Amino acid sequence: MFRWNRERWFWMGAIGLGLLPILATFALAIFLFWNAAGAAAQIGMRELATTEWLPQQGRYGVARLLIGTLAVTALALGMAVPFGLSAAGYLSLYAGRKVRAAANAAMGLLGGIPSVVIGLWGMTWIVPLFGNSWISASLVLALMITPTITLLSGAALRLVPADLLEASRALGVSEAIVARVAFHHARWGILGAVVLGTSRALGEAVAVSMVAGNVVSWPNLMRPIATLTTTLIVELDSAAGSHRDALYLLACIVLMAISTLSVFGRAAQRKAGI
Amino acid sequence: MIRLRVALVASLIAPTAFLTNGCHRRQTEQVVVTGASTLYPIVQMAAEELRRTKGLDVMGQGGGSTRGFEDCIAGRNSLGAMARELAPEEKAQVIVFPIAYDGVGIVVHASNQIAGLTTEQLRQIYRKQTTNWSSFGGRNDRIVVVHKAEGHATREVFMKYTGLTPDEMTRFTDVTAGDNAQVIRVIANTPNAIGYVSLGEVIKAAEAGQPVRLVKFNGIEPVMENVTNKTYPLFHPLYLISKGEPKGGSRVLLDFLRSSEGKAIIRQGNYVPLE
Repeated sequence: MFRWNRERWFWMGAIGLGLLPILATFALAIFLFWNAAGAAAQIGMRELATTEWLPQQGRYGVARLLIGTLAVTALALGMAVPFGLSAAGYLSLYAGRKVRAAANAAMGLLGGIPSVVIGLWGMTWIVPLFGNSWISASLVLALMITPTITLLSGAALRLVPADLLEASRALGVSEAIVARVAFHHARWGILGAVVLGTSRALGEAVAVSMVAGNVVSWPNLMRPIATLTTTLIVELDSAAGSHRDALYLLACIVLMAISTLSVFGRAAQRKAGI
Repeated sequence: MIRLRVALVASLIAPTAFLTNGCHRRQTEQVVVTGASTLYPIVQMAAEELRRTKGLDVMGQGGGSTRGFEDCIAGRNSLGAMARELAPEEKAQVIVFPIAYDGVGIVVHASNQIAGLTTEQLRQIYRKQTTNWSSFGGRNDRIVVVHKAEGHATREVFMKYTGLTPDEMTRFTDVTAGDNAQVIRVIANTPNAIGYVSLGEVIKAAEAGQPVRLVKFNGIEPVMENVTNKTYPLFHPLYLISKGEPKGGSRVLLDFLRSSEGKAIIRQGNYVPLE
């Protein structure tokens, strides 16, 4: 298999290139952890757990940033999940092949729009309606994660055996019950889709920072809000010394949250056989 | 899924192309300046001039003041560009060269009719004691207060001059923006917003057709002449920094920026050269 002597360069190249992404990821994680651990030790857990984020005064409480992140993500999920799952249900259970292909292409396109473009769209259409606020941030995020949720849960729903649905229909139950059977069968795949959508929402920075207002505050639907990622993107440019270290800590929190969610999301999808 | 993985791997490998690029750079002596985007136009214009006259290869990159400092410490650039004051611990590690002054302009949307603001009126706006443009002869609309993120020089200048406390600077904010470009973008999209930005960058943005305009401050026109003769009170210095004593191309660039041709270029970029 490994004809090492004759094909050494090929294998060295292949293995090297194969390992590179893994090494790069680890290097990035170690770099972030190193800086974040230094910051955490320097700032102290007692300070980090407070609600006051005032870098110029040496206050680095991340509590309200965490709450902001959770609030924006939760509301975005509240908007994206009903739409995403309904769309996925219709497209995979009832829509014709052409409609499904067209819708999936459109969803793929929507998911591929650079976030700065979505952010600009949000600034011109959403901000005039709702101001720079929690609701604007969540609307923009919902727009970005709906494609993820729709496409991934659609894939899970298409794995539901056709004879299961036919058997349900043969029992004479209403179509709503048939759909429920399908969703129940695909529950792990759908959970995976929602979890992966959540991790995308947690990591999104650019578009959200353009509509959220980025002011550290207690969540209020019509008032500005700051999240971990918007704080990072807005402040990194001008941060020095311990302020910069504290921002690395924020980045580390985001990285840990996203990796954990991704592991769970993938596990759920594997369980569903996707 | 497979296609996704291929894309993922490709995106991780792609940056290595830049690594190999970096090796070539060091062979031909190139002056790399990274950091504050405020200084980017100055460096870019100086680069064109030095390429033409001295055959020197100067490359400017943005990325923010913090990147300029970190690259400098790590030896990833020849000179770092800083648009903010250096922290004491930063100042101890580098040599600092003031290059130019940048004014801080009070900026509103182009459709906003107000003529000018006084220091006291600015304080009222930023303390939310006055919350409607009609109080200053503008249209009947809520004032949206835009701040820069903490650590920006423009924010420091604004805070010092208006005498707002750090608490007041954070408590009454509607939008916090990261850099000049973002403040300009927010105001261009928000007809009732007000902010403070690099004068040079607002002038450029307005020339490029963005719907933003500067307002008179305490009756003084926000134009370059008034920053130069210091009648316009809001300004701050821009710096280039070097890890050690600058040598070779870096020295040439610094000397050029302090020569009369260099100063002409700085003025052309809407900044004020040092005397």
